[in-house]
Amino acid sequence: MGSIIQLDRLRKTFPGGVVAVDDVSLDIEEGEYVTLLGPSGCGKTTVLRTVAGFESPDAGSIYLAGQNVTELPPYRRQVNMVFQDYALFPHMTVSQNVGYGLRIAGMPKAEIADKVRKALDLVEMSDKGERQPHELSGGERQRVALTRAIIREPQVLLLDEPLSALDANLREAMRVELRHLHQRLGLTFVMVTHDQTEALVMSDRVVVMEAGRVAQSGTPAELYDHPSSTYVASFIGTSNVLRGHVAASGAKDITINYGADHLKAVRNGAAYADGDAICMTIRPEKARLLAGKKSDAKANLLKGTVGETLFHGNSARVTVDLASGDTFMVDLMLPNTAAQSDLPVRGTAVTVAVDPANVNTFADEAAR
Amino acid sequence: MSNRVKKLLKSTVAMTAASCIFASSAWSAGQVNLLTWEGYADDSFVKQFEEESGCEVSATYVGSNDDFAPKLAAGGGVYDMISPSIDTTKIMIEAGFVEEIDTSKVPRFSEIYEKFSTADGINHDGKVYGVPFSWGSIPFMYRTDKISEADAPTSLKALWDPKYKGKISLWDDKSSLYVAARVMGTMNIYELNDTELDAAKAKLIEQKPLVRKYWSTAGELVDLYAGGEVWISNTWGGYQSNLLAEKNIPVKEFIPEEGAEGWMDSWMVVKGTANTECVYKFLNMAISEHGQCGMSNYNGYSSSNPVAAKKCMSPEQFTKLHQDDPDYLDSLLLWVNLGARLEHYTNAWNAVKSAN
Amino acid sequence: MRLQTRKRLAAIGVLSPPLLWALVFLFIPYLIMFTYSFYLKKFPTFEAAFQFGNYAQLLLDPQYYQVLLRTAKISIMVAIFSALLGYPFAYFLVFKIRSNRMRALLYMAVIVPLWVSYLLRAYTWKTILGSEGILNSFLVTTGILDKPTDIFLYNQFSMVLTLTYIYVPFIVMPAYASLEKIPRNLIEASKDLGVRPLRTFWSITLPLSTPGIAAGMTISFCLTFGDFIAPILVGGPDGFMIANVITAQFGAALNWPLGAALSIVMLVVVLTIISLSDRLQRSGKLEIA
Repeated sequence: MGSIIQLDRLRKTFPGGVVAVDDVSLDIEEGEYVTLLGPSGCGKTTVLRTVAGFESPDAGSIYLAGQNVTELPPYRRQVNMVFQDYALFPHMTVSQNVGYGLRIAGMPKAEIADKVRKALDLVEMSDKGERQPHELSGGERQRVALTRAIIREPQVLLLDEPLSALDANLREAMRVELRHLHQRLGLTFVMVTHDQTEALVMSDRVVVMEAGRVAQSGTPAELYDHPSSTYVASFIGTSNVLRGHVAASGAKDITINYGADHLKAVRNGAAYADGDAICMTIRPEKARLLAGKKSDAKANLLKGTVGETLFHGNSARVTVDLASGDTFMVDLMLPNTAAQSDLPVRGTAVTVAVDPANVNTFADEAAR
Repeated sequence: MSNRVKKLLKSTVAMTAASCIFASSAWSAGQVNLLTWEGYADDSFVKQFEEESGCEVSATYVGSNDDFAPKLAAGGGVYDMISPSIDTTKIMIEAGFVEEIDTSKVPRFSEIYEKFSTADGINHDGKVYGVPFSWGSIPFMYRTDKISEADAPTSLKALWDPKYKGKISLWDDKSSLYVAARVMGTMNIYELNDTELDAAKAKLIEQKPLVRKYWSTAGELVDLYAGGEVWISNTWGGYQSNLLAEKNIPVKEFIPEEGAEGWMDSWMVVKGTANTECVYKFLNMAISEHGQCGMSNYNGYSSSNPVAAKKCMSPEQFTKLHQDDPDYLDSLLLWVNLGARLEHYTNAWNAVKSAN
Repeated sequence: MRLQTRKRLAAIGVLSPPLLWALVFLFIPYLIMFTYSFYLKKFPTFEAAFQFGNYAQLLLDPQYYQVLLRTAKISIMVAIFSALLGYPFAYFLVFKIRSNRMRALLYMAVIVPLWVSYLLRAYTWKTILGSEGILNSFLVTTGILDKPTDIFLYNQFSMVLTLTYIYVPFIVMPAYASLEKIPRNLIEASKDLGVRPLRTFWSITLPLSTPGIAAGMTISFCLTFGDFIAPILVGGPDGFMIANVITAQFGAALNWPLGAALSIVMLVVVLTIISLSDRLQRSGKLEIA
């Protein structure tokens, strides 16, 4: 296994001076399912289109299976794309759409028919080969687009917001289906989405982009548990962000001054000097509420009073107004029906407990 | 027949004018509405008539003799007088578009050339239907700077001469058949039988590769000469040659050995006119010195009343317009109504144009 | 029920002026024309009758189908040349011009001449193509020709040229609209599937813009088919077209019944072309080889 795609310091500026892609380097392993995640305008789609060959970068190079393809036109790259709104040819049937590339390449008719049938079988569309695209449902079009893209056995499959045009239920089903397809085909998938759930559920690796740059790249768990910036922390899931200063750093953990409190966090490899401004992110579901006088010697403790309580069915989100003035969210899982009645009421004095392992730290970019 | 400007523009003007006339007071007294050639209601002589007679003159212009019948057939009551040429007058009578003229109310009618006043075209069942107004010839014309004096054409054969290939033009009219018949020595051009017509048609089709363009308006022929497209063609005597002289294009008219056609226009009264009084005032004015010289001065055509012409023209003009030359008049093959043969002529001419 | 009646009345109220207009100015005149086509020519005018003599004459006299064929030939040439000029131009505007302002400007440059009188534009070609015209002066001055030629004007070439020039905008407009409507990602998808640009054009862009081309060609064909001015202005002795024959029948020949019959034949030809083109446009798809 080596890297199938290498992006080396890609840069793309659009007319009008908008820097869409700013010095992006990225290695994608063969067989990986990588998702580029970010809000619209962050440059993720431009990166994808550059890989496909629809945009040529101002600077930097693209390697596909070790070959520099930066200057190659799209029709000479062994990648295929699933377009956001599928881009099915309206004047062709499903079979003609799927077989289009093969037909132009001059493959014998019988062979094409055979391949198309098998490919459509794979997505359970073989009975709809003679339909026109406009006769299909959204999900069916999606599958045709997928089939058309994979039938040429590309080195990489690019997916541009593949699920965004589907309704919520179908989207969820297709997530699973795409994931299965990826496993079955063993192909490299590079997907673009602005939907963090999609990214977390489907990918092996997520690349979060911000304003044309890579903000952070890692497995979904790494990104979730150890975001390296407030941007990533807030883009993926919900986080409590607390700001403090490094009081002491030990071999395994560091101590942080936060208001009047001293909080401990497990070291994550970053080197801090004493007095450095530091950001802590804590996921709401990874904090606990200690009722009354209860205590927990191993955990960081923050005192406050209950503000809002929002009931979510399987959980409840409690907002705690900390003594420091910050607001802190705690998610309480509600495994027992009886637990509902135990939800804290506004104004109750509570203590928030967070294990040091659940305190993610990074240098405070706002203070730099 | 007179100043024919662009047929297309004309018909629009005619329609607009017709509707305007209708919308205003077409029925009130003190009016006379003409369907005529452009130069026949020119302010240069009509203005004074309006002031003296109290009759307001409105004119709608035609571009061709073929326009009279369709316009009158399309609906009456709009026009009081028309001025078709001698080959069209009979059709107007037979179609019932015009009414008898009481010559006792036109005292100077007797002064008109007898050849005209007794012409078959305006006399029907012993009644008079037209007052002759003007006349002229259809001579031929060539550019003297392109065709030398030594080569000066005298015969219609020049129009079939390959050395003028692409520089020849003919009037887009059934009269082309008259030309073709004469060049083949058939002189009864208004009584061609089917065989003779077919021969004329074939002769014209044979000529087509030599023809630059068939001209349909006076302006077009002038442009064709001025643009160097055409060196030789037929023309309306006196009219286009004057216009070309103004543009310093040297042309010369000639009457070919095979003779030239002649034409004569008459005023006719539309059946059922409500403006009889003004109509007769206009008729009398038309053949008076005022009307005759007014027309001749503006259009360059000859007058139908030599008595009046003699009084109002200079001797030079009188001679130039052949007013004192009965032989010239007699030498012209005066247009006649083709009657039921018209259809065969027009068909033959259309067939020429349709031929590949 | 009541509401429905009111709605229906409202619909009638809204639709009746255009319907009335169509009835009075389209259907009734056509009906009159149709009726006239069975009338009998009787010198000097014609009389009411019901007979097929006029249609028989159209069939039997070769001059009519000669002119019909010539008119069809010229119309087809104009439609084809208009498409050959107008379509690439529209393609260029839609796909090659990046600046919106430049695109709007070039589009207007094609459309604006439509506001200039047809006569004037046809006349302009006379001054260009004439024996002493601009083109000849250029060719003689540059020594390409040693004396002016008259092959440019007063023939079918100059008619096709003038009419093509006049009807190109009628191709550019629908072709532009249909090209602009093609989603860009279809073209990208084709390239993505390994298809080169030229092949992509033949397989995707061209078939998807066919309705626009067909609409434009239909318009220019039909307008040419009914044209009677170009033959008069720039046509030569061999430029007589069907509309000129009709004009002659209603004028010089005083044969309204024959003119009416010719008009009906012409109407049938044009309506056939329009309905064929309509079917092509509606099917909206072509088999891709």
